[in-house]
Amino acid sequence: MLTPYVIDKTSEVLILKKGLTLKIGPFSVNIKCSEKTFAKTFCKIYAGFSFLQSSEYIDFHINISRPNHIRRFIRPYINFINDGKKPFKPLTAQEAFPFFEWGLNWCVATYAHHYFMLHSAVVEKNGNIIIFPAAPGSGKSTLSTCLMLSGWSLYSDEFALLDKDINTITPFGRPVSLKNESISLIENRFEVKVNSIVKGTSKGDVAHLMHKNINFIFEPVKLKKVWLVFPKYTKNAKTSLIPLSQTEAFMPLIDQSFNYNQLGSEGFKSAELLLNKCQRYAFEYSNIGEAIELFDNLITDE
Amino acid sequence: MSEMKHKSIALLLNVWAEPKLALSLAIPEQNLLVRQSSSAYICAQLWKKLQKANAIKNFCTKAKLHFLSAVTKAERQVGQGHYEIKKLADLSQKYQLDFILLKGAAYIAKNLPNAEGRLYSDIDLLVGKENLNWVESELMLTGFRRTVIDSYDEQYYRKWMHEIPPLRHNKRSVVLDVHHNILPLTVSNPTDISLIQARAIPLENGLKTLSNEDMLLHCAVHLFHEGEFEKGLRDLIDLDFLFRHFSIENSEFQTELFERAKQLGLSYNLFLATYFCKLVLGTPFEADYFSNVMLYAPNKYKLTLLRVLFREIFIPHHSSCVTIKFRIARSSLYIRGHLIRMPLRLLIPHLARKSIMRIKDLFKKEKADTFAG
Repeated sequence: MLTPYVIDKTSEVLILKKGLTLKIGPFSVNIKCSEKTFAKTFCKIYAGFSFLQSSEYIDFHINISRPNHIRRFIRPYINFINDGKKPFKPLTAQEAFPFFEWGLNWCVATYAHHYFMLHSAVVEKNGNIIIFPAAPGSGKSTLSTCLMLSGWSLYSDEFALLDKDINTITPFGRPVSLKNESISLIENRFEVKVNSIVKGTSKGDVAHLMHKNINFIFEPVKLKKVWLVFPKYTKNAKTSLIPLSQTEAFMPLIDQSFNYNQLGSEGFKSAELLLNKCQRYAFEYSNIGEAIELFDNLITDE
Repeated sequence: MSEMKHKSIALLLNVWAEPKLALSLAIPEQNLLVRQSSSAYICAQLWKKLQKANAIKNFCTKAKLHFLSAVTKAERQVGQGHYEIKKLADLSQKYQLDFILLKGAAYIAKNLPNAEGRLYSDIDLLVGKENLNWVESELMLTGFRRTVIDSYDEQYYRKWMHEIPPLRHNKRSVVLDVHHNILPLTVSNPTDISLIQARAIPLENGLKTLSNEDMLLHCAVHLFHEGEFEKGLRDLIDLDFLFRHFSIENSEFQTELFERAKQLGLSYNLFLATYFCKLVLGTPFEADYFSNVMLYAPNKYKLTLLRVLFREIFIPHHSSCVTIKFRIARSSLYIRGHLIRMPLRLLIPHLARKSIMRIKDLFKKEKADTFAG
């Protein structure tokens, strides 16, 4: 493994001046920015990641910068620039860090077609892997973060990166993204302190949390025992886990695939292989304690 | 300019001209090649070309994945293109209408060599001006919607442009540009579109494309009336492919092309296309044809100026290639583009209005469109 350079205080200067190249998941990302506060937040949250030498192949060149016009100074805003192109409208300067995280998601989702990609959280315990595909707002980040803080290993709270033959899954460990009420829920229940909360973004209050149970190994893991669980948080709902047939799980699965359409017939094949390989459930919950217990039991019952 | 910078600017064009060079690139150069070709919108096309030249075996895994991702996207687009073409064919048959496919859609429909791996952003269609309103409402019935533009843009399109505002499909999100001419009505000597329509060639599915000569001329006219050249190199590569392909198909092609350009009053555009294809991409031309076309070259001062500017612009518009000369060329050609498309009495109010809108936009409350996370 590469560990000659580890992110620390001096990396802040590097991000601002030359750009810093990191291995994040299976991707190498070069990050440059004009914002001191971004550099600081970034180095704090990504502390412990190793960075790469300049001769390595770099997948994404990302620049978080203010524009060269009046909005540099008055009500400053920032652009997310992916190798010279701006796929998004600018956001306010204080949203720089979430902007980077969202933008990187976009870079991966529009590029990594060598994977069958799902918009999904992925957790692992003792070789058992649960994939939680879900639309934003279904509570998959909250659920997977709670599992992580209860001893599960978190592969990702956004992406399931499956090889097209559905033999392996690649961890894409990054800070988990928590929104609104889930921030205080996690803080109160697990006595962790969530830093770097950005208030009033387009998605409300957003925070990012780093933890030792997030998987940073990034090597593909063989899929042996796998569950496909579609989570849904509903206020006051009773905890319920309902088995789904392959047919029932098909539409919800491809709805959450980033590249089912791009892959054409290959995508269909991958979806089919995955449905064959997994036990499939619809999961509704409101009580997080019951949810954690349920998944712990689910894998030990096997 | 340092030698390093010089070398990196030329990387993509060098490899394009001599694919075997790809065999001896170090990883950072492979990385740069992928980035430059992506920013020039020809990543998948480059891969196909290198593949044919047997020059891909030394790329590292990551470089290959980037090329293949571009190929996946391009092939998906071609697949979608065929589907849209089929839908248009159904519509044209239903109403016995002449639909002429232009540019990317025509290359796909005719399976021309430049369609392989080529990205296209929208489908371009030429219809008779008399049928325009009717076609638009028929398309709306099949799910196409007007894209949101303000009333000034709307009026501007309808009054002066050679096309109506783009239509976007409400489910498939494909964008359709419906043209009634090949150039805006504001150019100083508009082409008689009926001459072009008369020579259109039917496809098996009932749609039509322009004749080979007109297809090439349209590509040239379009490119050299542009004001922005982000896709300039890609379009020049289209021209190169078309010149080579049609010349092989028909040994008289270059002679016929020259005559046709004269007839349509597009000889100067043909000169520009020929001259810059040869200069930038080394396109081969018959000696007679080339000297005939050179008769339409401007005086030597103007020619030198054009050469300096266009040489700078037909490169990947990527950070590794941006120099001061490039910036000057880009601004000058932007102004040139506007001047040849519009007389000053229209251009000045138009640009004034556009600048005010742009300044206003800077202070509009942003509506975020960030990727859902």
